[in-house]
Amino acid sequence: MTEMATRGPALADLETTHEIQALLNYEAELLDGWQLTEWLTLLTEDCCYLVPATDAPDSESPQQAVFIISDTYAQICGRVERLESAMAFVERPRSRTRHLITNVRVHEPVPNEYKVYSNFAVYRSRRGVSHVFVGEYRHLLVRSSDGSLRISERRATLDAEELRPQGKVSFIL
Amino acid sequence: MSDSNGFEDLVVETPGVDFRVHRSVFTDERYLEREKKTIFTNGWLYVGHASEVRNPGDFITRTIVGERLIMCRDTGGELRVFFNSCRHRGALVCREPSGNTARFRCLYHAWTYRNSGELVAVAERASFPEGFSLEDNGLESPRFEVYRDFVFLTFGADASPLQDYLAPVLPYLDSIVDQSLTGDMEVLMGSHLYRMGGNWKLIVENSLDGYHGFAVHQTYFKYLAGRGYDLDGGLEGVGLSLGNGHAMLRYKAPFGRSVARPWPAMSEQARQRVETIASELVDKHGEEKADLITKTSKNILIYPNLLIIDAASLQIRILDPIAVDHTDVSAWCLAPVGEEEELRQHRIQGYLEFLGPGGFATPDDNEVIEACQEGYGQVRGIEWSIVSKGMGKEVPSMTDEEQMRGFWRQWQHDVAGTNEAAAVTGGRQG
Repeated sequence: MTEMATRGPALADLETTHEIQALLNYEAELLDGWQLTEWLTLLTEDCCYLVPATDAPDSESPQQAVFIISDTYAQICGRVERLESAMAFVERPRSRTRHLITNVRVHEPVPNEYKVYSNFAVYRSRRGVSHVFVGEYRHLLVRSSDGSLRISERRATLDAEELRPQGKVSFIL
Repeated sequence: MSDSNGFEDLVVETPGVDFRVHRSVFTDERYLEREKKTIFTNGWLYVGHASEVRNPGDFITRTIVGERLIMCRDTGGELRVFFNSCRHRGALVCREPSGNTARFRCLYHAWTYRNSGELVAVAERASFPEGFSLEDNGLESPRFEVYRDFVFLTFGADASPLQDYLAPVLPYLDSIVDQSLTGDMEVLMGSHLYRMGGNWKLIVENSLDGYHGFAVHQTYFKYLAGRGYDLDGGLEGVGLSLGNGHAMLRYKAPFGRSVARPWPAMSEQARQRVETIASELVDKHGEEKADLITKTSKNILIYPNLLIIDAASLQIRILDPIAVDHTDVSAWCLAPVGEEEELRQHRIQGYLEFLGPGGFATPDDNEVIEACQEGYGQVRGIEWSIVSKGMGKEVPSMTDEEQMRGFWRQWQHDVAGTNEAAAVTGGRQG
């Protein structure tokens, strides 16, 4: 059975849904503001960040199939460090991005763990060209001991069949 | 020059002294049109890897310099390449990127072809004139040949056999395939299909450029150092012009390699497996050839537009010129069939850390390509690019530019050829 067929309607309570929407919006704000070190604090230390290949969008196994991005937490930190340096030329000058997030659907498969689907459109403008990246996020969220929600997996699945014309995913999608 | 066709003197060489390329070759649409009629008609162009259509009925579709193609394995197990166009009115007969089918059915009037190409069904066939036959109207194939699962085609009638064309680069292509003890390699699921805002030849140069590594990719090397790699040896090697336009960098590098150089994060078991594979390859091929397979990094250009990057991982990359200033890049990770899970995992990780549109290095190359293309403008300013590094040296190093000069000499020869149809096959430049 496909993942889509097993999802069912999202039925988390209003308060939780609101809390999670606020978290997604805050994450988007940090990313658009290039506050990447602050963004890292939203992640658990076993977090992974996945962008599947455009011709294998359903792939669940980055160990066996090639993704566009399949970062472990250490790689996410390396990616942020790289992007913070002045020598990541593809992001100097930096892209201006705007993450738009809608259709947030919160599932709670086990208590205090949330599987959150949302739709995104991310606009990227740089050096006279603007591109849009459209797709679906899947965030896995866990409640940490201090009561706050943290992201333990972040997957961005693009609708585009090819990264043409976008060319690259050099910012945090 | 009474017989000038306007395509000479774009690459100018004074042996041992100077080598320059006129920047209009990157900006003037006339040259792209000329390349399409010469190099991209008469050369051998990579279509795909046989592992992409492993089972009978498997197909993929691909676009190569504007031509829509199907590569498939027919029901009898034979590999086929077809123009993806109905004999009747020309619609695509296959509109999926990949899949498995016994037949290709045109959506327009339902003409139906077997996956071996024969036309088997035409609606209202009796209404076609006498003399119309199904036998004469199967799917058309370009001329294609296969070398160790690498499938190439040519659109020209006069091309020499594939193995002659590949001859100077064959030992190196063999050294890629021989990563597998059985010679059985496979393209992994998940393609990188992206675009660069630059002329395709800029990406050829960049893929063979050992000079830019530490300038452009220092964030990548810094990341590797932070992950426990020993970078002290640096990159050490030579740049080679092999002939027929083929060229390569051949070097030793600090990257992990699934066939010889364990990654720092590898388990002891996987390390031992890497050692075992390396010694089995020595037994099979001898020390020298095994060293080329296992310990030697290689950036190989198979002229004109196929790159095999055997460095931090193993990549097949093709460059499709969609405009004079835009190139579609398609790239795949290649691996031995049956590779152990942990080695496979490291191969993919090494791939993604450097390569592709989300990697730690390729996107900066993209920026370099676009900065060059934008810097040329319409070439009203500086007209010539300098490609002379290492000229006069007996053994040019990998940070020199001899390998690019090999590409450029063949390119100039081919576009200047007086007979468009014979340009590539008419002679060879070293």
